[in-house]
Amino acid sequence: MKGVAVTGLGVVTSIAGNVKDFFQSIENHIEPSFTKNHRFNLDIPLAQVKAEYFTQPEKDTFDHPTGRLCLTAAKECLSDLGDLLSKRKPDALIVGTASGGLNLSEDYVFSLLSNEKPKDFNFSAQGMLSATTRLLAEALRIRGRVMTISTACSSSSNAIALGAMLVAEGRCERVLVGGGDALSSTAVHSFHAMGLTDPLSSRPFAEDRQGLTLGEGVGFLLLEPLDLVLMENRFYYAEILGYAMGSEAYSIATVKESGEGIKSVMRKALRSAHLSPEDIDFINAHGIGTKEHDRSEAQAIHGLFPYVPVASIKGLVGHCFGGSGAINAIASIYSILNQKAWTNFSNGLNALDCPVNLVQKGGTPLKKRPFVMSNSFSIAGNSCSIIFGTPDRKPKGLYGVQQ
Amino acid sequence: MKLNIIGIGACQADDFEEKDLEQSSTIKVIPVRNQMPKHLISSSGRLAKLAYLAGLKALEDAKLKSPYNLTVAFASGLSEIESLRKALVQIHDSKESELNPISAQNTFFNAPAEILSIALNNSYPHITFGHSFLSAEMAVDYAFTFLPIHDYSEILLISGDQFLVQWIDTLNYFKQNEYSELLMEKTYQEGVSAFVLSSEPSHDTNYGSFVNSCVIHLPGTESLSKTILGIYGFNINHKTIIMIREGFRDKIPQAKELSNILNIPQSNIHVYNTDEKQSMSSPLSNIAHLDKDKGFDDILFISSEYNDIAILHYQVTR
Repeated sequence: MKGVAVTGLGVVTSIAGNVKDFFQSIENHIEPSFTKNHRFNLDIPLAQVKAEYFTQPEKDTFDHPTGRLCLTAAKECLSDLGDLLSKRKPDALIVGTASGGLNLSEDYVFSLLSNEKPKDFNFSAQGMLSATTRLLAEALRIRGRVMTISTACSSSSNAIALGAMLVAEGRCERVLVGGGDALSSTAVHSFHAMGLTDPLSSRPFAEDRQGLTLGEGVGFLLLEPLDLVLMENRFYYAEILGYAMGSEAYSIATVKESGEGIKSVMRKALRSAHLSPEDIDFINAHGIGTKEHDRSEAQAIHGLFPYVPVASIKGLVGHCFGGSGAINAIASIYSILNQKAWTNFSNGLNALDCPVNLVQKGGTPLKKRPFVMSNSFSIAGNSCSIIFGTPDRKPKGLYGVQQ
Repeated sequence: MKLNIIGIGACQADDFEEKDLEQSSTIKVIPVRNQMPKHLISSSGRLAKLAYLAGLKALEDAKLKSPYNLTVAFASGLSEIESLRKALVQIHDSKESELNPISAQNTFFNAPAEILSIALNNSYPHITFGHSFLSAEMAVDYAFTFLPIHDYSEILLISGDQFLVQWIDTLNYFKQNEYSELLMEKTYQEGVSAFVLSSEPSHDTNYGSFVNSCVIHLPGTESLSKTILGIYGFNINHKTIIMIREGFRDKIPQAKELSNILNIPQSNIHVYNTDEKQSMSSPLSNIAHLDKDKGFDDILFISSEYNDIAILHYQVTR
């Protein structure tokens, strides 16, 4: 199996419209831009992307909220190829999204229900889950394998894992992976109806946490064979060392208190990377801010990694639904590049039921070339953990993973 | 690598008597009462129930040692769209959020796969593909990618969609005649099919094997060529039968054109019989009872939507 290098990054969130600003915002520990508005007729804060953060595509037909965000981030990601891009287009595109073109379908249905004339809308081209993938493939002129994954909040993580498999097996050479979601009425109302939203703002792993703050955002990574990148002496951000997926098979809206399912997936990711728990230097937790999910993840982390620094970025960018896995991956890569575990973005006292080593303000320095685990879980327990590192510090071999 | 089909299950309108169906396409009551865990029946959407029944049959048919512990690849074009439709009406009609939490859960596209895992108590990974009418081929591609790199040798593949004939009236009510006519034209039926696939060559199978599958985005469907098929590992010869499957809206090259492009006799190219009812997003629904009688033993299914071309290579075991 081939090693997998991350050679491109692109991101759009409520705090930044590109990777450089995103990294800067993490480093400077800026305040989140959660705002209450009544766009969705609910009195909860949301993390919305500012209009200046994404480019309006030339074609009017690209009137697709998720597609616009994805196109901006995907273009930034591919720009990392520089002059090579004209010769080496991605040969695969894997998009993870929870909603796809749902916002446009909503507008259309709401217009009909209000007896208003709806805007022109083609359900199969714009409204379906796959609409984002197709629009992106067309706009970027990708000729190759396309895939659309939807596993709710872990969608883009699963896209990264699948892309890594394709590169590792030599089935593809350059895979553009990632995805995300623009805010949709259905997502906002669904999370709220399930009692998972915080009326104030998301405070991952805090004693008084009440829920998540939904955000919109997307992230993309370009994956290539590591040997090729090394042979060409090209820059790369990180190597994907291992990953694992799993399911709790417990409930569609919550997870086991013990964190058993999450622990099992993290353990499998370690095994896949040929690492032991002591090798992990920083865990970028899923940490959405709900009582049950944070407790479950914290219990799982505590069981395997009692002393490893842990942080969540959800208190800064919100929970970006299908995009949260890719955004987490990019934030994890920043900690590798910067050799620093960034601060857990959360106001409030650390929760007693979340016994993890949370990174305090100012961050924690990491050793040179750290190994970082990036977690992403759906609210129903569909889990994906990915381990990033750099190849200069190779795993020492199979240790046998501890219970 | 081949993926041998070692278990098949289906839950589709075809399996029911006329009295249990609406206009021979929609199942009136999905019979999960004595099958699915009770606590899940009221919280499951329509598609989850279909998927559970189909999946269970395939698993029983496969007679695996640990029948309920295996990776699941789920494929659907529309997922729980009826739950979503109801949720949107609730959201629109309420001043504050009065969305029912059960409805809310089922608006997630991957809800059927989550329900299936819970119902089977299966903690192995599951993934959901939603690429409109080409979702099933994508899930088969995933099986080919996933199995060689992991410690598993079996995967449960489930694919299909709900289809309510009542949607046609709803669309007409909203003056969306274009869509309602398309739905009527396509003779869809509600249905889900399930396959247990094994990468173990020693597995005996009477059902045949998948040889390859993927969905490719091209500048236009006319760009399809024998070379492109070769790049993606599809090898065709004079024995290969091409089945063209019409999607919702597509631009597949016609038989004569395809014959020239792929350099095979036109007699090898068949357009899927559109008089037959078919499940919306899955050519797999027809594989179980497909064409053995016709003597086909090497079939390339080609479907297309916009510029995405789905290719699935299936071989009958003799």
